[in-house]
This record gives sequence, structure tokens and C-alpha cells, in this order.
Amino acid sequence: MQEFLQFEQDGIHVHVLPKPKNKMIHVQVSIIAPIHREHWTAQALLPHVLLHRLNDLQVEWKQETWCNRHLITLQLLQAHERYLPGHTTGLSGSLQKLAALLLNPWFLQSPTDLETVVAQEKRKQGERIREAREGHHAKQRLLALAAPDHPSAWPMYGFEQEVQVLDSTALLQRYQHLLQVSEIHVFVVGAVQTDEVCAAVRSAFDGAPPLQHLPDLLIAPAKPEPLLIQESSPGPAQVSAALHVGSVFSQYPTFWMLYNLYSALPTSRLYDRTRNQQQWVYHIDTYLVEETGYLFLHTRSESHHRSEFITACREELFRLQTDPLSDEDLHTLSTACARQLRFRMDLPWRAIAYQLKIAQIGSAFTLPRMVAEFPNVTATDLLHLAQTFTFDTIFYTGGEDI
Amino acid sequence: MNISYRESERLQELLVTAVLPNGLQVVVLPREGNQVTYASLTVRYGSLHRHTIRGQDGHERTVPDGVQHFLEHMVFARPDGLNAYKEFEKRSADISGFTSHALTSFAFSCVEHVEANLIELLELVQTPYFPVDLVNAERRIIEEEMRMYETDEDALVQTNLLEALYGRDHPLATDVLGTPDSLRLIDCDVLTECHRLFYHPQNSVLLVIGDVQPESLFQVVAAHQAQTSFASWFPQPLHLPTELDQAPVAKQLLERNAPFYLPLVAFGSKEHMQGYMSQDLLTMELTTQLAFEAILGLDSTFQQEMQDKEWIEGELCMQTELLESHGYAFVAGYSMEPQRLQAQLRHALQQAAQYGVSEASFRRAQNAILIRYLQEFDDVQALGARLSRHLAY
Repeated sequence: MQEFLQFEQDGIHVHVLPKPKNKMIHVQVSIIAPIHREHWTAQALLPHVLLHRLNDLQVEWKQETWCNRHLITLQLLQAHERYLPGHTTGLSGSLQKLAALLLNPWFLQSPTDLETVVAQEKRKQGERIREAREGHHAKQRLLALAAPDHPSAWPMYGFEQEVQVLDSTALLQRYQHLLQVSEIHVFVVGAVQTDEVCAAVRSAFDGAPPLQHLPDLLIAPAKPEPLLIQESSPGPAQVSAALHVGSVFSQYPTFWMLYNLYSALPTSRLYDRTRNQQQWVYHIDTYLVEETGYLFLHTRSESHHRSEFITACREELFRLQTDPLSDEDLHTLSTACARQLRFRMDLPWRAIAYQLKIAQIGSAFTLPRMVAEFPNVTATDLLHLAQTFTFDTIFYTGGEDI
Repeated sequence: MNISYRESERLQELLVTAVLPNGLQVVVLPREGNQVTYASLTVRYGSLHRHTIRGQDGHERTVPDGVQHFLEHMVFARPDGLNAYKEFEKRSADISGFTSHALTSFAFSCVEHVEANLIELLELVQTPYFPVDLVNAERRIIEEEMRMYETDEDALVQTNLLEALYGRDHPLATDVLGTPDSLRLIDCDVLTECHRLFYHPQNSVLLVIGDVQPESLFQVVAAHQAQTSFASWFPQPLHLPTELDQAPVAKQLLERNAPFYLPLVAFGSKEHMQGYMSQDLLTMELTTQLAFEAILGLDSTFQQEMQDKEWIEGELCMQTELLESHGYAFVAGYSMEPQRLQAQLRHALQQAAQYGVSEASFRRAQNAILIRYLQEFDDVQALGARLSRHLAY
């Protein structure tokens, strides 16, 4: 199975996955910055200001928090010259464009406009914060309940009371500081040669800050007491649960397999029981937020089935002891996990997303190594890891009984 | 067995087609070096196919809404009681099904055991198995599915738009899942008869994309099909209510209260498709997409202006469905200013109809669509889903 080639060049972490038959070239540049509570609101606004004049809609951007890190990502998709001649700037042009957006941002050329743009973006950010709060997703609400102090539970757009007092000069200084302390990663997937990528990175990122390495990941501790929250709402009956799994990166293949026993996948014992056998639910949304130390489950269910669903979730953890997986089931589980990762490797943006995660947790868990490790995981490994998991927050909303 | 080859020099792709003696059309897109292989078996039977069947008691009855989707669920039941999804997982494959207005499709993707998975797919789809207890259990699962979609914004807005365009009684305005009442009318008898009539090789297309050798794959499939018996085929008339397609738009405006944070609005138009042949459909679809992209696309003056004025939140999405029986296109997005947005949208479309679009807008739209299509070639599942649809109609 193919693997990303990784190397460091001129201060940049470079990841290349050559796919000679691909018709598109996927290029991504990610800045991974450390975050601290006192700077979060400023940092959350920065990408909006930085990319304010992003009129080239071929470039897509997003920001997210991953543990105690802030990821700002730019993506550019171009057809290979062979398939759309005359309409592509090639790999080198793509990297030049993305590097310029980050290293030579517009406000360095026109600093007088910065104040106006910051004022506009502060107003918009206030609206985004309010919208995000109103349209709160179950997972985010659960995260805020389960691990309120963890950076992943902070508001995505910063803290409302702090936005309006942000100052454009301080924001600019913050960005310049971030560039000095962040890791910069370049990802390329497509019909490219490694030396071609090297040359393009060297040319585009000339003058980039020296190579950085970030502090350790921060995992939220489990709650001392479980929390049950019930909220009335006109909507349908729903149930969400936060399962504290702790730091799982040292046993990542085992964890991945356990996750499959809990998700809405054919190998999931929970899904088989609650959907196929009992018909209590149609679907289970499982959110693997391992960077926080939590796994979240969410489903819509009739009011009277909610507690039965939670009981089934708990029992499925204990069941690994009373009814361990057979060798055949273990083999199916391992095959299914390997298949999922191999599919991921086949899709450029998903392969890049996983590689970005690998950049955080360490190269011991690249996709090919994970695939090789799955068959070595035993039923006892699964049991031992499952015994460390605890349900610490359960959240009922809607329905007639609340 | 006749085998035909179609090659695209520009795309560097080859499409190989064979029609088996039982009528099954098998299409292969060989991709040397691909890790993942995709295969789909598509049946030309979707929620628009309202029809009557003769039951075991000899009486004719109209098939209840939602039977196509119910059949899709029941295909995964196996006589040996094994979990079909899990059996595919054992062979590094992931299988799923979906039902649309015009077809039902079953697809797997795998990294190993292509032939074994292919045979299992054919067995699963072509073997009817509808015991009462499983049918009743599946009905409860579909009822849960219905409840889940009650709060699905995209599903709600699309259903409402189709109701406005075609009227409440048109099958396009009825959910693919049917209604709670129609579900109760679906029994083993109905499922068996609909399966017998429509899940026939002559009404199906098998597509395989991956690192496979087409001719040897045809042999494998042909050998399996030769051992499988089917009812003698008689083509069913597709009772698509085309006369309603000629009717004017049923309602110019339809408003519904829904618990969404922002109002979600959709603007649609219907196309009268009488006289168009299936070979025209792709050209029409591309032309519609080009027009939408040039006039209303993400990079268009219209969408930039709407975003600047904050009359839309996020991006507008556009969708088209053009078949011989009906055609519609719509634009949807979140807006706090739906009336103003509608007026501006009409204006933009009228301007384009009167003065055309600029060369620059046309080239930009053309490039955007070419990139969208090329991108699918790097995602075997997306490519397979699109090709399955095109091959069926």
C-alpha cells in the first residue's frame, strides 16, 4: 500500500503521495499553531482577516481546533495539465499562490485597510458566534458539557465578550508571532514527482520561518461524577452520550477497532442490537473526537427507548468480558478497519486529513502501519482498553417525557 | 456475447460493455493500479414507478408508495440469516443501497476479492427473500428512518419545492420512503411481485470500475447468470404521470414553518421533457449546469453580490434532474431575505435570457464544471454513482 513520503525542507514539513493516474493535483498548506485561552478570540478571527480578500474561489480554507492546537488550512485543487491544458498553473503555481496568502498577506501591502477590514470582520464574527450558539449541534453541546475547559469546547469563533475589544495592530502582531511558533505543513497528492515538489516548495516558501515543533497534546480528564442532563425542547426525542476514552494514541489500532464496535457500521454490536434486533433507532451518529479524550454517541429515539439505548451502550462495553469476540468476529473487525483506512488512502482530501492527524500524533500510525497492526490486536487488548472507558455525560433532549 | 469498446483519448479511459444472454447489461471501466474497486447493480425502478400488480388472489391492486425503497431495504435480508453487510466486510467490502425517483441501486467498494463480492451482489439483489417477521421488523426501521428525515432540512425543502412545482399528488412530491399509511400496505405479496417484475436482468445494469480485466469479468458474471433463473420478462409500462409534467407550476409560492435557525429557501423551475430522447438528456443536463454556474455559481457576480449584501448565508446549491418523464432544476440556500433574493434571482435570469452571459463567465463556468467532473475520476465511488445513473437512463 502506498504511503506518504515525508521530509522536511527549508522549515516546511512536506508530505507527498504520488498517484500517477490521478487527474487532479490536490495541494494543501496547513499552519498548526499552539493556542492559549487568552489569545483564542484573536486567533479565531485571524483567518477571516487574513483571507478576507480571497477572491480566487479555487482556494478553499477552513480552521479548526485539534486538541490544544489551531489548524488553519488552505486547499487548492487543479487539473493536471494533461487533462485541461492551458487552464492550470501547475503544482508550482498552486504552491506559490498558497504560500503568498500565508507568508505575504495582503495587509502587509496595504496596512491602511487593515483597520476597516478588522472592524467588518469583528461585526461578522459576532454574528457567527450568535448563529453558532443558536444552531448548536448536539456534539458541540455535549463537548461543552463533558469537557468545558478543553480547547475543543471553546467557541469556534472566539468568546463573544472579547471580540469587539480586539485591536487591529495587536492582531497583526499576533499573526506575525504565530508564524514564528507554528508548524507549516505542505501536502501534495497527484501525478507528481518528489523532486518536482521539492523544487516547488523551495521556491514558494523561500523565507519561511525556521522549522517548529509544537508542545504535547492535551487530553481532557474524566469527570469525577457522571452527569445526566435533561432538556425539554419542541423537537424529537434525542439522546447523546459522552464516553471518556482518555489518551488512546499509544493504542491507536486497538482503539480504532473498539470504535468500530460502537459506530453505525456492520461490525458494530451496538448497532446490530439497537437497530437490527430491537428497532429502537434508525442510525447512530458516532463522533470520534479522540483529541479531547472523548467518543460521542448521538441518536434519535422514541422517549421510552432512550434509557434502554444508554443501558445497551454500557452493556456492550461489559460484554467484551462476558462474551468476547470470536476469532472470526475479530478477523472481520480487523478486515473492516483495514478496509476503511485503505479507502481513505484512495481519496486525496481524506488521505491528507489523516496525514495531518499523523503529523500531530506521530508517524507510528500512518495508514499502512495501522493496516499492518490490526490483525495483531487481540480480544484481550480490546477488553483491557474498553475497561478504561467510562460514560461521564448523558444528555436527553426533546420528547414527551421531559 | 457482444462486447463493445469506447475509448476517450483525452481522458485516457476505456468503457467496455457487454449484454449477456439474459439481458443484463455489464459495463466495465478498467483502471489499472486502482486500489479500490467499485461495482453497482442498478435496477430501473424508482419511486416514480407507480403501477398495479395482480396479487395471488387474482385481484389487481395499486402498489403502495414507498415499495421501491422497502425493497431496497429487504434486499439485504439473507435466507441463511447472516448479516449481509458483515459478510461483505469479511471480504474487505462495503455495501450500500439507495432509492431515487427513477432507480434503485446497490453498490459495493472493495480492496480485495472482487469476483466473490460481485457474485454475492448478484445473489443478494436477484434472490427474493421476504419472510413476514423480517418485513415487519424492517417496517419499524423505515418508520424510524421517516422520523429522522422529519427534521432533515435538505429533504424537507426539496419535497416542498417538488410539491410546489408538480402538485401534492404527483409522485415526485411524495417521499421516496412513502408515507406511514402506505408502509402499512406493503406486505410480502407486494414485495415478491414487484421484485419479480422489476428486479429482472433486462431491467438492470451492472457496472464495475477498478483494476479488472473486462473480458474475464464478463465470463464470470455470464457463468453465474446462466445458472440463475428468472421469470420470463415482459416490459412493464412506466406509469409516469407525464400529463402532469405539461401542467403549469402548481403553486408559485409554498411556505412551511420548520424549526430551522435560518429560513431555507429554494427556487425551482420545471422543464417540459416531451419529445426529448435519452441521448439528449446528458447535453441538456450539462447545458443547464453551465447556465446555472455562469449566472448563479459560486464565482458569479450574482452570488458575490448576494453575499456582500448578506442576503444569503453560505453558498447557494444547485441541482438538476432531467429524465424523459420530467425535468426540474433548483437553487437553494439560507436567507433572511427570501423575497429580495427571489426578485434578484429572477432579474439575473431574465438578464441572462435577454443578453446572454459574458465570454469570461462562460469560460469560468465551463472550467468549474470540467474540474468538477475530472475530480470525480479520482474518487471511484463518486464516479460510479454518476456512471450508474447515466447508464440506467
